[in-house]
Amino acid sequence: MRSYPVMPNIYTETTLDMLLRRAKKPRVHTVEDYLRDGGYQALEKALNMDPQEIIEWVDKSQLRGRGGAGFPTGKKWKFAVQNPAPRYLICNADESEPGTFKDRVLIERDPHLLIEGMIISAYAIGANEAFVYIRGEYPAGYYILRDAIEEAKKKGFLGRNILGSGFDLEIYVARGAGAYICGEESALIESLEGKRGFPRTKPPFPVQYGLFGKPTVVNNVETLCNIPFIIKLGWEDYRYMGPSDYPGPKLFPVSGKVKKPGVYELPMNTTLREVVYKYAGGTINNKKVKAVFSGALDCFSWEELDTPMDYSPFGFGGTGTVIVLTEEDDVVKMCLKVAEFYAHESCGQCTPCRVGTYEQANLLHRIIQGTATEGDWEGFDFVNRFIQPTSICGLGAVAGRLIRQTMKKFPEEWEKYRKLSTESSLSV
Amino acid sequence: MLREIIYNFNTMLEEGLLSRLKEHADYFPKKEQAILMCLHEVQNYYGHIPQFALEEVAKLLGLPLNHVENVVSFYDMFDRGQPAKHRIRVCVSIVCELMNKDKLIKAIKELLGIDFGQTTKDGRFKLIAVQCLGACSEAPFFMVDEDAYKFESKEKLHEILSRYA
Repeated sequence: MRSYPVMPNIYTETTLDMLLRRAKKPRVHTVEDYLRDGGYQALEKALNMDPQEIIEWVDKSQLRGRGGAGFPTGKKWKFAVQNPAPRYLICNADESEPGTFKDRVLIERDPHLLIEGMIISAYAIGANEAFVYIRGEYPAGYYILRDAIEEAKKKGFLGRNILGSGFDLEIYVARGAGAYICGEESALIESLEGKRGFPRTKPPFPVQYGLFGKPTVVNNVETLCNIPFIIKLGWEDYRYMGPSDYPGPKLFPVSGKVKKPGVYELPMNTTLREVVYKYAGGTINNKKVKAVFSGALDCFSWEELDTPMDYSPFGFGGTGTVIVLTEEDDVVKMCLKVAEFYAHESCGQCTPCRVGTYEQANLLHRIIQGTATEGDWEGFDFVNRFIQPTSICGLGAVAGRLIRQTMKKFPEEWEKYRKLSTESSLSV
Repeated sequence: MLREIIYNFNTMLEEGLLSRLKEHADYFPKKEQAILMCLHEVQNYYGHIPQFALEEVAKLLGLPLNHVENVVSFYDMFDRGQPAKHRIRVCVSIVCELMNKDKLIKAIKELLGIDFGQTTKDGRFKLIAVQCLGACSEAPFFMVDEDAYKFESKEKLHEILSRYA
């Protein structure tokens, strides 16, 4: 085996022993390791099933997309197969949300689980070409996947006539180059076609008009890794795991001021409090939790720690990213980081998002410096609200969301800065 | 075919690099899909993306030059500025900010005397600020070329950087 670039030694823990069964050990698992552990048995079973039946099973399993939006995977597949072949399958491995590092663990340590999931999914939707789009900052993952695909080809799991079933599949791996927006499915497709990663206007959705104008299913790494379990266990047994509405294992990348940051595999009826205190070992120096950021998307206060980690309207949702802030951290300053993130990652296609995210970061910077005027505050409030309804894609739609939530949940923090700017304007 | 022959006569790229670019172009179902991979390859070879290489990539993939320039300018990882042998990418996102990334930036500044976007005088290192690198449990976090590291101390950092000649 060749040597790979240095990889981070991310701590992992699992109570379910499914997705992280092998990945909890920090090393690359080869095809032999995977086969020894019962790997590719689900594929054999799936190839003896009717593709329609697999889609039905995935639909009944109530598996939801793990990439953030939580769209039911079975529904997406059903939409795709309504449209004529050729169809494509794309694995979205462009994980760039701040605080998210769950897919990386799966790709780097257990690539064959993903490959098996992709083969079954491609068989179900009738795709003969599949792509993995991995972010440019994960070079190790890229090399590992390329090698794993070669291994799988040698064993006859990929290529022509897979295991004598008559089904052909090639998986191609493409690298991104540092654009967060390419995690948005239509931008990813544009990038995979060799263009700028500009999101497309929807509809038509990728399941109708995707890669090269053909119906395309885009699924997250973690979603595809769930597929072999649904086939192996059957959808009924799969649904026993976790709450009945949101079954299956979920990975939670926990970071920030906790004693044991890492990736945790838990059922979705776990509460945020359990994740922070029971699994991640509580906060550093036992400080009180002030806020939990869900990536750059949502914000939860101390009072909301009993939120369940599921996709319900009041659940934690998103990619499951947990960033813990304690009482010594400044929420407003962290909002500046979020605003800077969106300003940096806005693709620049539509004006509201390009100008709006830039102005949002700019005004927030002035607010923190204490040089903001009354007009700046009004402008900040306006910009923050108006990006959402006027942008093309989801990035603009959420660019002001976390900031608005902190204003509602931590008014006293913002009041501090308002006082600071009034004082400095008086002294002038 | 004719295009291929003309191309081979006029190329300004190194033999080894050219064959790797061709490999990428042949790998994907459609040639133009290899554009990002080719640009990565070019940047790894030259330490940045020179203008003549863009023209070569455009010719190789059968794309107009302005399309390739358009793509290069969009993606953050591609650098058309001053070349550098190694790139240090430091995460400046939320979690690394929480976990005191300033210590790491200060240590790099002290060791190499460069700020974000600058290159050391000998052209060995370039310091780049990036949004989340996806290893937040290991914050503060940085990458040197393709290798990923957690920042522990200035001494450890010095030891890591000395591995990159």
